[in-house]
Amino acid sequence: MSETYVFNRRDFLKLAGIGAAGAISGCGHRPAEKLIPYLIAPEDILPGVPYWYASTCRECPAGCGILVKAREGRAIKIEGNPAHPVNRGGLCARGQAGLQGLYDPDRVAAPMARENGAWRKLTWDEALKRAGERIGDASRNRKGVALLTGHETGAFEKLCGAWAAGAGGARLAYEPFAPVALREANRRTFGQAAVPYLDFAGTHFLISFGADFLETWGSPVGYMRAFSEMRARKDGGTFVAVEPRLSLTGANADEWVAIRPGGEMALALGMAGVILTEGLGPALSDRGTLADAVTAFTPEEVERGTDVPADTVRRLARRFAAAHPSLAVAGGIAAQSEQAVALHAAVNLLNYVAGNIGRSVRFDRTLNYDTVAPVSELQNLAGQMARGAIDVLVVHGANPVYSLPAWAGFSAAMDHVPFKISLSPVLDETAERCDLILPSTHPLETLGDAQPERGVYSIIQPAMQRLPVFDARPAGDTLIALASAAGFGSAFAEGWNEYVKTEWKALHQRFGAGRDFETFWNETLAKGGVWEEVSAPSVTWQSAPAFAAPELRGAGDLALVLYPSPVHYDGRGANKPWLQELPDPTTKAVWGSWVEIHPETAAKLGVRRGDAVKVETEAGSVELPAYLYGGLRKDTIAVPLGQGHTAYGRFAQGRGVNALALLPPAQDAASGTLAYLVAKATVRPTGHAGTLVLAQREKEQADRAVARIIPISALTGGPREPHGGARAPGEHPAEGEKPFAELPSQHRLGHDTEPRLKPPGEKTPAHALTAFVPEDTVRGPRAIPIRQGSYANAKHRWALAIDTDSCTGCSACVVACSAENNVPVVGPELVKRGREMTWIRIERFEERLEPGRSDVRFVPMMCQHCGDAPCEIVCPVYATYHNPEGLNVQVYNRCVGTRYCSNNCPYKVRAFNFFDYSAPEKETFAFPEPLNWQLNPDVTVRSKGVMEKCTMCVQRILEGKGNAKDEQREVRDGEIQPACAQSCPTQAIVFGDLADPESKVSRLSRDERGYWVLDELNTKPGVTYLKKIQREIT
Amino acid sequence: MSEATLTAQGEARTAGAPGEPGASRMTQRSLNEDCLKLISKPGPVWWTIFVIDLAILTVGLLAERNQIMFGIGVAGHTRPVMWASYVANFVFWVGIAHCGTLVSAILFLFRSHFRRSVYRIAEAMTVFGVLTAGLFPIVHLGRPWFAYWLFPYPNQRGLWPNFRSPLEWDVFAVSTYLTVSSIFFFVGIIPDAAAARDRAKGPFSRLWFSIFSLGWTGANHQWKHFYGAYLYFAAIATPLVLSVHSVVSWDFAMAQVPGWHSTIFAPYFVAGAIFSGVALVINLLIPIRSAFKLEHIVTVDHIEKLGKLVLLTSTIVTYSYLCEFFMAWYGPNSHERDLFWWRATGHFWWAFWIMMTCNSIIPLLLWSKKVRRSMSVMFVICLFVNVGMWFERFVIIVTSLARPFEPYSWGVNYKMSWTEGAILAGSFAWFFMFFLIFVRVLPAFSVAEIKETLAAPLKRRAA
Repeated sequence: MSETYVFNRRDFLKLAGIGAAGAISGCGHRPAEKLIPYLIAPEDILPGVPYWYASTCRECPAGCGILVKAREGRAIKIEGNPAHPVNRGGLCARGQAGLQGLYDPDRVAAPMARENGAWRKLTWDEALKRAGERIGDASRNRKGVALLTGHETGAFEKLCGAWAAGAGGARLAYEPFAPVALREANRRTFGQAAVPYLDFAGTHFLISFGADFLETWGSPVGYMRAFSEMRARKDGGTFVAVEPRLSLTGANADEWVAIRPGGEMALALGMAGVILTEGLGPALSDRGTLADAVTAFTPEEVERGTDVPADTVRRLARRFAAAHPSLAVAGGIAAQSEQAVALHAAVNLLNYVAGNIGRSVRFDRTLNYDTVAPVSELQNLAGQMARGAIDVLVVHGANPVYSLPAWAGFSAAMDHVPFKISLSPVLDETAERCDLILPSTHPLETLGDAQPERGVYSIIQPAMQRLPVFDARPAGDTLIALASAAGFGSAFAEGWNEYVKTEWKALHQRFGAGRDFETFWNETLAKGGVWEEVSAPSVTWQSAPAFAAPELRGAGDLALVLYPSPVHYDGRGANKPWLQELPDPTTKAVWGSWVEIHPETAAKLGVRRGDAVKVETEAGSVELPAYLYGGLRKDTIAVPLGQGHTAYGRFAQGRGVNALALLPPAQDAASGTLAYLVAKATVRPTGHAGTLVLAQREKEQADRAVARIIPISALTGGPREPHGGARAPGEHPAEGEKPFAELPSQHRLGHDTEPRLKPPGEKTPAHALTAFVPEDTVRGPRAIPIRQGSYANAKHRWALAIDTDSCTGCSACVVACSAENNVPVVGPELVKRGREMTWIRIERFEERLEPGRSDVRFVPMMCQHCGDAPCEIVCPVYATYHNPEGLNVQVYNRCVGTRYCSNNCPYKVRAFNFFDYSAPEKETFAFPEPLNWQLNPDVTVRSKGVMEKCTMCVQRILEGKGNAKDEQREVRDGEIQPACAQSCPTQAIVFGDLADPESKVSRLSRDERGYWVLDELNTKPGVTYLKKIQREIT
Repeated sequence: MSEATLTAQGEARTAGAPGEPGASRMTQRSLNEDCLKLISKPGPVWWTIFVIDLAILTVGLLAERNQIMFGIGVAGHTRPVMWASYVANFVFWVGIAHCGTLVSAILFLFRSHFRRSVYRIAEAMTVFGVLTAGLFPIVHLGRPWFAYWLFPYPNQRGLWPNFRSPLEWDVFAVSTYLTVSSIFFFVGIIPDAAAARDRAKGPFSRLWFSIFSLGWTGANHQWKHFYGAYLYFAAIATPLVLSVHSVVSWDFAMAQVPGWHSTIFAPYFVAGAIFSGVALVINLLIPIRSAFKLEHIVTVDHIEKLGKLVLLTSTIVTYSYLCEFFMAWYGPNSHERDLFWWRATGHFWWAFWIMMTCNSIIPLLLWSKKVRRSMSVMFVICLFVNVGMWFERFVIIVTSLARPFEPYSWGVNYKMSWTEGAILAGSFAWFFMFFLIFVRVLPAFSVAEIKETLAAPLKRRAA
């Protein structure tokens, strides 16, 4: 018997298996460990189930209510709280981007002390001991402790006051664009040192003297909502914007009065004078004295001082007085001049003589700016610091080194303070100058409260455990610990959380209504706060200050308008990549700053778009790229604030310039506020190109009719403009699957003048003029929904309706979409090359930019989910296809990257992953740790070489359908909201099911203002746009 | 001229007086020698060219490696210009590949005998052109490692490609064309390979040519089958000349992009393909005939005939250009009108005017017989034609995409990156690498067909 070795099948498999295992283990990357094994499951957290925490947004003083979505213990999305009285569900771009402050990779990881010019990490005990000793010394011996914060309300405000009192030092709250002058003007004219509640919604005629109330001024989200409500009424209000630069707010106006910078006050008084002399307003007892005050401001005089024709002054005044109520509002940069109080007083007077006080201007739900100090007090503090009277400076939530011009002296005075403590979570310009950093937690991981308006007690609560990578503590805890270490801590509770709860005990007494505190507290946490109706004190006219117009200083011939960026506000948004890459609503520029120059002025100077120019005032000069903007007076230039950080993390540092360097020393004597509108400037070309990155380069739509308008008369049954229509009245196109089909040859005629032709028998929907419905109960008539031919039996047909009349162009939806869908930020170089990744964009078309009736249109543009999609047929591998519910679906895994779909997409809404934005090892990685913690686990992070686009938030659709199925019911209309629709402060974007004829989206899709963008291509989009309404100027 | 030359009709003609002593005659032997002398050990000039060629190819490969590593973003594409030089290169090389089949198959069917001395070069150009063109659909992908997903292979996921997509049609068109043109090329080469085999010295080269000659002995029945097969493949290849480039043109025409969406594209592209292909044939033939002293085989007459073909196709292409503009002006489509105006005057006006100059204006010189018969002028004109035809594709692809329906994307303009430049240069190097090797290892001229033009030896002796 010879031994023969039989190599049988099993041996072969074994050997092959060993070989394969060796090969696998030997090469390739170690798989990333991304699963979270819950070996011992936390009791309240279910993997895959989101939790929502009600809180308050802290990105600006408005204090909108938010809901923070947390998945697996980390916050991934912020949405407006629909129950909150300030914003009612909407949220702006800055609020959405708050998450990137939480996950900022440049947050301070631990307490740090500056030693020999370098930062050294300390333990908290060490740091608190060190700081406590210094504060203790200072408070005992020289009383030289100063606490400087930003705008704070509620328990923290109280703690700050008590803390400063305990330390025996000064306490100051500084907020760069706070309406301190308005507060002062109201004190003088009405005896109420408050920022009033403005009833935009009920107004019939609105005139804004520079107030950018749709952008940054006051409570923008709430104002936007109210403004929409005003517009939605069939007798809706007219809006006139009086400003030298057509802002985003002005772009939403019916009339633009391009006033000479600083002339606003004269116009307001001129209007008041006309009302008084012509006896248009209500009978007033003090009419005689008031008339005396404005006699100098005759319309002709106003014309001389403001370039506003006397006829216009009279017309506006008559219109203003005829509307009940009307509303005049001053704010923004116009109200940040050397005569800020005078302007506010003039506008108050105008409101008063028209009878608006107590109606559209009320002192019930006033904005809470009670403790904010003007810059003059900050200068006093700086003076004390410079004299050496301050031993210890504690800064929290304010960045005066950045947000004040150098002449205010704060930055220089810091050198004279021996010990400076910053509680900033990020190394901003002020923190960099400090000696000790005690990093505080982000509001999204902190307990607290806010009282943004009178009668609103809003909760700030942590939506997640503190990030372990950052050893930070709530600022309240730090202050209390500092007090203990310094020896005056006995006045405070053991910790910040207890302190807050103690404060809320008092509210429990008022709102508790028989429940115990814990129940009340938990209910409040769930709801986001408590609110009550407050009564308005009745006010009468007391006295007017001296009315004088501000003089602009300097040798130049161009008035300089510095304005807060709607995207970065005072600069605090600049460290958030979503905001850096969010196109500015006016210029569509990203990642930098610029100077806006009128095209004619630029032509005279020999400046073309993108050229670097030197802007010089008597205070200094900066170099900026030029943007030619017709929405500007020819004698004016405008520069946004908020960029040009020298610290504040990798995303903010070195982007653009800080235009505060152009401000000469000036403030409003009456209120002590900083004057931003003060200088004249010269502009000189430098001869080289600047870095201006525009996301949208051309602002003209030529004949493309992407953004359309319709005169209001065509909707309300008034006289219609004749047009060259070939169709006789009553002749309608055949009823088919395209409800408002216009033949291509007819398409060009009347698309901006006529409502769509309805099938016989269909009536005009009964709802309001626009998509905005304050209480969503209105139902329209039935009609056949749009069905997909081959999917005729599908249960749903998801669709969007977008009302371009409601859209203000604020761009909140863009950030909301990026947050929801893990859209990477690619940086200025790639945006410059047209490679931005955003799934939704706000297109801006400037049809007419001239004083009088300007015509700026905004179109939110995302994947149109075409019923007959050009992208679908050309994909060779079926990576994009149509699903039965009407969605145009992109399968990332199947995409090979031919990019044919993008070429064939008429709307150009597909974004391609040119580089690897999702691989941590690549330098193009878009989510540096811990920004990647924000990523939505329900949405794939796309890899290199694949196409992506709007999915109508298919993950939310699935969630909504799943919830409905669990509860054994149908999906309710409005239950599913994509991120863009959810965030929209004006309800301009409406999502729903076309298969349900009762749904809001069905109703709006049948609206007579409905049209499809590029409908001549017959793509049958699932997104219906509603024409912007062109209101009459009367 | 003292040597025998071929007339344009392919008839042998001796320039010297007949019977004059010393006047060299084109004989079967001399033809063998002349045509097959290329197959020899290459000299330093060839090696120098070859090494430079490989160096350029290496640069192209490195650029491609870079592109795969970092992503297609290293190329200049942007939204809205998602296709650019790679697709232009693809169309350019497919176009180049068309001339070979035209010369060998269509002119064969039409019995245009002047093709005899040039068709092998043209066929080789076809095969190598397709090989080059076939790279670009892969190079331009975002994820080229999944390029095989475009093939309808059976898989457990039950996934098929989308047969409605013109890109999918390309897959079949180009692979069919490669197959047919290769077969045609290798069939035609059989008798010549046998001739080379018979004069081969080393065992290796004998084996090499034996493979290509497929046991050819020159027997009568072999000739019969050979011509049968040749005719058969010519008949198959002829419609391909028209169909392949039509399909390529539908990549564009089937899309709805203004400037692409046009029914003229198929004939327009075919004419353009022949135009550029013939020009490149001339560009290849002129140096070869002078480098290897083959002026008597590839005669001025032949080049002149090809020049007429260039002129003809130039006028067709020009007609197409004008027709597009006319339709844009005459038609109701404002998007189209806007696009064509922008194409000629907008950001890429220079590319458009390079195209017009090279393809429509410069070829007008070919109306002059003197120009057609001047080898150096012909060479330069044909270079211009090739530049112009590359720009034609660039203009069609880039300018149409850069001016989309949606005004938001206007003004984002494509800029070619160095990666794309390197890959374009690499593609030329890739093509010429094959070509350089080809002329040294296989008969670059069809000895057998040229011999047909000679008078029968016996007859001549009797005379």
